[in-house]
Order: sequence, then structure tokens, then C-alpha cells
Amino acid sequence: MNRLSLALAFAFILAGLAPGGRAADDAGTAPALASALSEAFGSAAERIAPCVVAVDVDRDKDIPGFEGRNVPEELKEYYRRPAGPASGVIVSEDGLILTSQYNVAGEVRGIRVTTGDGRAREARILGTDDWDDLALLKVDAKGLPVPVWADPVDLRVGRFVAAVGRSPDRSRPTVNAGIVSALHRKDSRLLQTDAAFDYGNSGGALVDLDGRLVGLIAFVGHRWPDWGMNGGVGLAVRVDAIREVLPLLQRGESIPFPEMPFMGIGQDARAIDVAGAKVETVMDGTGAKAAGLRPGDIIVAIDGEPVTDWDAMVDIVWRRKPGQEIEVTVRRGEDDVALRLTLGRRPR
Amino acid sequence: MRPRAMILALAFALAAGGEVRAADRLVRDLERRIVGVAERASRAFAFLDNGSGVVVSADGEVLTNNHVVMGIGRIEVRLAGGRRFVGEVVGREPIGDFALLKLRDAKGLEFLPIGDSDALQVGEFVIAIGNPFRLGNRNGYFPTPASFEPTVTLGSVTGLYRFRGGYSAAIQTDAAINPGNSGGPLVDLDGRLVGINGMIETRFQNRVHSGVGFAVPAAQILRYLSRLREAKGGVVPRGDIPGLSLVREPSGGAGAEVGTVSPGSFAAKAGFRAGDAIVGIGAYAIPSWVRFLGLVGTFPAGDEVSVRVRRADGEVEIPVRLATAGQAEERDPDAAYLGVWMEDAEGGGVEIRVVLPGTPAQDAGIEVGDVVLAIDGEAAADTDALKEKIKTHKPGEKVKLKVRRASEGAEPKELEIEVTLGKFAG
Repeated sequence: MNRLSLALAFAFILAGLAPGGRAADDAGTAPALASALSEAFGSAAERIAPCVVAVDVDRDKDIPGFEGRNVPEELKEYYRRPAGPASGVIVSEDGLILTSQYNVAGEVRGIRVTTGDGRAREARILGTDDWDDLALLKVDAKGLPVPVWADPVDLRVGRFVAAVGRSPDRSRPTVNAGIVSALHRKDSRLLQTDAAFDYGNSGGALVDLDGRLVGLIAFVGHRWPDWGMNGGVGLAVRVDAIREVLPLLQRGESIPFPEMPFMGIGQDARAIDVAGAKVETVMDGTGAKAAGLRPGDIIVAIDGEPVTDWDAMVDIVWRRKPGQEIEVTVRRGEDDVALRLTLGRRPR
Repeated sequence: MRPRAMILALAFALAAGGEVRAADRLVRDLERRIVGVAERASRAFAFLDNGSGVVVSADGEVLTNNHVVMGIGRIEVRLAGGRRFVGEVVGREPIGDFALLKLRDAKGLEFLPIGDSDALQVGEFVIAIGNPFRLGNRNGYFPTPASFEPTVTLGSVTGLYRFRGGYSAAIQTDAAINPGNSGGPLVDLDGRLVGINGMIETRFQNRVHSGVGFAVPAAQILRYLSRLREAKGGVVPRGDIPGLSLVREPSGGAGAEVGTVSPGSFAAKAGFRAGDAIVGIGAYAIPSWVRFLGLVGTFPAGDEVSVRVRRADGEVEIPVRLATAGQAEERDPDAAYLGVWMEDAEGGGVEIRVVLPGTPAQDAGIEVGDVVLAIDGEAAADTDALKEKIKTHKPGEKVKLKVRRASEGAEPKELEIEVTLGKFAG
């Protein structure tokens, strides 16, 4: 080998092995970073895309989309589920598909799952987790591509994430980029992101720059979606929450939305520097009213447990169930009064 | 394949791989930087009931929007993680929409250093920290205990020195900002406070982020800081140069042209003359009349500024100790209220100098610089005539204003604006 070739080879090897590769001067860095960023999201999406499916649901009847809410007529259209597929994520080679429970809610006649290769398969629901807004479907398949799961220890606020769905074009994935906005929503079962979520990519994959699954795109676990338009707030079910319930859903079990207890009082938010929870309103027809709570009362203990403020009081009560009786100690003027309150059911 | 070719091929592959690794490294470095800034800035975040704030000193000075603490003297403040403090409003600027609080019994707090908002460039990344929809501090959105974890969103600076209502030199950003973000910090990638987020553009009354948000720039707040500290809970008045009537036409970047100077006015006494082109204040360049009004609005009354003026015979520096903006006058609490400060316009009509935030004028879309020509078909000759006409109405009644609006690079246009008059809220 002649000296020139050797020198050239040596130069290339050095360039390849040197930290930072080919040196980027200041003027070159910004455009380099800009294209690198686009490439990064693109390649992360490419890695997960084969695992993202389109989910078409045929319904006899849909859930109203505003159940329990007083919605004016003109807004009902706003909350109605649009036509077209939603998304899902393959979680086993033999055809377990995870999607959001909202996507398969209502009186469902049939579900069709379309994979990236264009193949459509009929799916059935194995189990649903109404609390986390998850649904596990099953199709007959072999050798499907499955995602790499992110390690929850690597989750950080500020990290880049991409939301990948397969709607409305079942043959092409959609990619929406953003960052992790918060990690501990709803008892740390949900992470929050500003990557754009919508009806189409709901049930799809939220991935990090390595294309690893960090969450499932969902809305919230309420019975109706809080959207009409994306406002930069998206909630995804965290990878660790998914892994926790997956075996249960796989067995065909379902987790219902828990019944939450309800007292029937409104907070006096202006009362600061008060040791306790100050009541401003007491609603008619509730357990609080029947127990004899009055506006102006300061709740200082529940079942003997001291109450430091309103939020602390709610935390204590939410550990109980509708129908349970609790002892509420209130400070009324100079005296402490003990009241017995039967908890009602929290309206949704 | 011959050994020489193999070595060359391998070397070339390594070099190409090196470039891919370099690109990946750039992105990972950026990601790490964002994570670091988010972490540090979140530790200085303050939950203020329905809004946000940011700790700017170890002993508990907190900045927020005035509208977050409007009508409130003391407020409960929770820091990230839930630590509880009582904050007292020390001083406020209601038009610029910012306020200073002091937390009681606070020391050794994590705080955000204040950066240079004038160094911001359109297109650079910024991070907003806030509490949209009370996601972090209310255990009612989900039926679970509050985590006191703020929301972090990423965007870019999409505009600078924007004039919107009382925000006269706002930073515009597309970082997701929603109700609940108000009062929270806008942070640069060096982890410094460059703005306080407070306003968003919304459509169809849907108060949700749609890509256009505004922050009060740190440079403006810094000019007020010492006065806010001494304000004993009161208002620090804005600065002004009364008596100048500017030419409301684009000057092609040649500054703010003075049309007339009212005889005997503050501006006249300071030395301004008709025909002057105002081209700078201190280190700031002034390309237009909009920028001039916007910049003056960022200084408190009493501040000493040097105004650079171009005349036929050269440039001159006019030292000005800013007067107090606005007119103090007796107000009938039940009278119909528009929500503007006005001045007689050059050549007739009434010029809108300030549109106060959260008022019928702002809701109707009246803008600073608009000249009101008529109200309900009757010519509005001057401010007295317009005020008299408004007084004949009651809160809740509608009036139609004929307005002339200048637009940069185009003919001024005439608009009809319907306003539902309100009541003075204080």
C-alpha cells in the first residue's frame, strides 16, 4: 500500500475515532444541531413505527363523551368522537395489542387492527383498566415486532419524546415531538408531555430518542376526553404502570374505575394561616349536610387523624369508600364538635 | 477486496459514523441541558393557588403577574414538593402586569437568577414552567394527592418587543402556556429568568394554548425591582413623556417622528421639538413609533433616561426624568367603563395611549394607537367629548366606535368596533 493511501486512511480513521467526529466549529454547530434534532425524532419514530397499529372500532353505540357534565347543546359536537382510526401498540409477538380504554369504549360490534405492513386482523378485548385508561386486545398473529421498553429509572422531566400514531393514514405513522413536562401525575401513573396528542394517536406509543416505549398515549382515565383541541398538555400511561397491569389484563381480568367517596363541602380558599380545613359551602342532599356541617366550620380531624389543611383532609377521606361512616371533628367558634358523616359517591 | 481498498473503506465508514455520532451527541447534549435547566428552575417554582410564581432570591422574593394577585394582599405559596409559606404582596405594576411578593420566614431557598431578556434572539429555545389547569397542586383533577410538581414545556422565542394591551415590549413564544401558567418563569437554556409568562392569544373563547404566548421581559421587571421593594404593597407608576404627538405612519426604521409638541408640556420643557426623529433611548435603538411607546412603557415614573433624537443639524441627547403616566381622576364606580387612557389626537379625534388588561376595551380589540373618530355616529372631537358620551351609558350597554388604525407598511384603515361597556373593577 503506497504512502498516500496509508496517510489518507490514517486521517479518516482519526476523524472517525476522535471525540465529536469531524470537528464542528461554532458557525457550523447550529445548522448541524437543527438537522440532527429532526433526524433524531425521525429515527426514534422509525424504530417504534412497526409496533404501532391502527385501531378501527365499529360501534352500535358510543359513550356520550360528556357523561355527568352539564354541556350546552352546541358543545356536544365538540366532544363527539371523530370518525377514523385510533392507534395501538403491539406488546407481544403473538398479537397482544395495547390501546387506550377510551378507544374501545361503548357498545362495540367489532375491532379491526391494521399493522404497518397493511395487514388487517380482527381483534377482541381481553381486559380493560378503567383507572389507567388501558385496554388489551388480542389478534391472531405470529412474529409481530415488539417495542423495547424504557427503564422507568431513565425517565426525566425535559427529555425529548415523540408521540407516534397511525391515523388517519393506516399505512404511515405520524410523529409529534415534545418533551416530558412532568412525571408524577395521578400517583405517578401518568407522565405529562407537550408532544401533541389527539384522537388519532390516542393509544399509540410515546417514545424517547432511542425509540424505547416510555408511555402509552392516553387522555386521562376520565370517562370523557378533556379536549376539543390539543393545548400542549398530554397525559400518557407510564411504562411502569403498564407493566404492572399487563399480566392482569392478559389473564382476561379488568380493573373498574374506583368509586370515590364524597362529602359535599366546598373549600374556603381565602382562609390561610388556619390549622385545619375551613368549610365555605355545604351542599344540599349530601352526607356533609346530613351530618350537620356548617359554613365556617374548621375541620381539624377525621377519625382522630389531625387535619392540617384542605388538601390533607381530602387525602385522608380518599382512603375511604362510599358508604363508610367517618367521624369529623370541627372547630366551631370556641368548641370542638364531633360529627358522624356517611360518605356518598363522588359524581364524575 | 484488496487490502488497500478494505482499509480505505473501513476508514471512510468510521469517518462517516463519526459524523453521525457527532450529530447524535449534539442532540443528547441539548437534551441534557434542557433536563438540567428544567430541574433547577422547577426547584425555584412557586404555586400560587390559581397561578404561578418564581423565587428570585434566597430569602423569598417571588415574582408573578399582577393579575394572579389582583385584590390579594397575602397569599399561601407552595414551593415544589409542597413546602408552605405565606407570601405578602410588596409592590405591583398593574398595566405591565407584574408583582413582587415576599415570603415570610424564608431563607436559603432555591432561586432563579435573572438573565438578560434583551439578549434573546428570535428562534432560540426557551422553557416555560407553570401550573396549567392546576395539574400540580390540586388533588381534584385526578382523585389522587397533589404532587406539587410543576409543568415544564419547551418552545422558541417567536417574537420580541410585542405590544399587546398593557404588555408593551413582550417576549412572544410558542412554548405551551395555559391558564395556570400565569406568573411563572420563562427560562433560557442557561437557566436564567428571561420573562414572566402572562398572556395567551385565544380564539372562539377557548382559553387554551394555541401557539402564541406572551411574557413580560425580565429587563422591564429589573427596572422596577427597587421601587417594587419599597412600594409597601402599592402600585409603582409607569413612566411617560406627555405632550408628544407622534406621526402614526411607518418611518421605514428611521425612528419615531414627532408630529407636534404641546406648548408648555413636559415634552416641550424637556426640549423635544416637532420634526424630531426619536432614534434611541439609552442603549436601545428605536425604529418606530410603536417601539418608542412600547419601550417608554417599560420604565417606571421617575427613572432618568437619555433620549437620542435626530434633527436636521445632527443628533442630540435629551435627558429626561420620566413623568407619571396616566391621569388620576375621580371615578364614579357605577359609571360605564371602557378601560383606556386617552389623549387628544393630532388633527382631531381621540388617541388611545394605553389599553388596560382585562377591560371591555381589550375584549373588544381596541389597540394602542387607535384614533377614535366617532362614537355611535357622533364625531368624537376630543377626550372630553368622548368621555361625556361614554358617561351617558350604563355598564352592559354597547357602543359602536369608528376607529382609525395605522398599520406598518400600509394605508391606515377605518374600522368599526363594538364595545360592551363595563364597570370599573379597581
